Amino acid sequence: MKPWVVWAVGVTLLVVAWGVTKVTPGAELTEASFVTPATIGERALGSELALTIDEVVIASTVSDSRGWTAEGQWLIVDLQMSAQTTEEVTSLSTAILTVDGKMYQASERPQSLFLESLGADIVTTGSVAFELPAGADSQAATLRFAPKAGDVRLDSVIELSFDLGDLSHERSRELRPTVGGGL
Amino acid sequence: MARRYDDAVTGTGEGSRGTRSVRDAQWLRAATDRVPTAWIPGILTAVFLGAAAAFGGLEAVAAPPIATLEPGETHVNDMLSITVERAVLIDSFPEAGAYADPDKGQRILAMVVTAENVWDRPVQSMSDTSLTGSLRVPGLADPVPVAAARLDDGTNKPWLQPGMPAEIVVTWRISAEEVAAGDGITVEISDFSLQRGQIVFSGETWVSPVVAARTSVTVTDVGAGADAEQSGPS
Repeated sequence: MKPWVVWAVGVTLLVVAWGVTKVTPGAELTEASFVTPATIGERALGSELALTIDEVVIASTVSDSRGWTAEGQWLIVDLQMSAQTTEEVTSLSTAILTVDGKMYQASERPQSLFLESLGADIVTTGSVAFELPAGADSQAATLRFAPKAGDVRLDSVIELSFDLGDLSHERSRELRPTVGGGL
Repeated sequence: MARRYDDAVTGTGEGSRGTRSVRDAQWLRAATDRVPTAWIPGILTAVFLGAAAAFGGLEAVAAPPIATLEPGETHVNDMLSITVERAVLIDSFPEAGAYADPDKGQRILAMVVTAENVWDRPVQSMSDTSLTGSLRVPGLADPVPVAAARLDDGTNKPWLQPGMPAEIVVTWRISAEEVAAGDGITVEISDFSLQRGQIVFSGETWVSPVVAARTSVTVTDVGAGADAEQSGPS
């Protein structure tokens, strides 16, 4: 074989090998969650969690039925939720809003459905609230819910994608009281 | 064939091609021929140690200096922005999750700290690897905080959401004689390094706090607490 052929084949193989490492899917794919897309007003079924998102709004004053209140920019999600098969260690433990690469967790300050236990086929209604920094307007946002805290890799999550600019703004809003769940 | 090989290596024979690389190899060979092979590791070690010594050897590298903050000045690291605002002494502070037993001579040192999460995901304020983990009062018998709560609505162990500053009451349980009103106390603020796991260790966690700043705050004694003063004997 002519030397230039050897060089050409060698360099080509190196480039191809580099290309293979680039197109091989990484952990984002191999460890991705199993996503159930949700739509507002329709029941979404994950592997354990069943969830209906009734409404998503933004409010500048938020309060709860116990009398807690706070100012700021709040995203409020009205929900109905239940478990499908078991009440053992199932609660709404993952409620994450992602905006602009930043993850916000449902606020633990008001009384809400965040960390509330799930009843098997018994619906709990209520709300969760996310506190956002001022100026988080008209950006793509993703809500993720799962019945387990923290690590949701290769696990079922219910996801709603929307634009913050499409939401209706309210001056003040009271979170729905947590009702039902059979407890 | 043997003849030609010898010529090529030494470049002395008639068959020598006289190329540059062969001539370059000549001095190397001449030099190494005179050095016993057993010496070579020793020589290389000596060169390495010499080079290491030239760069300071095993001397400890100077740690970056610890910043001394003015009262009320903000310290920002990769996870949090921390400002120590003020401190009070109080008999007990159950609203902030800090209980002291006066019979054992305990009191509470409460510090209002403005903390903002500058990372991209929520951080629990009451944790060895976040806000309370980075605040230490080295002058106290127990320099580790016992509780953290929001100043505005009293939420205990609040989460810090990205980009949202919050006033957090961080509390220490002290013995009554440790700190008196008007004392200045020094607070150490540590920076954490973000550890990213791979393969065996997965996920991300904040580790290795390093003291990065010192600040001081003057303590006010508020007795049994502001509420007790206002309501008075009823």
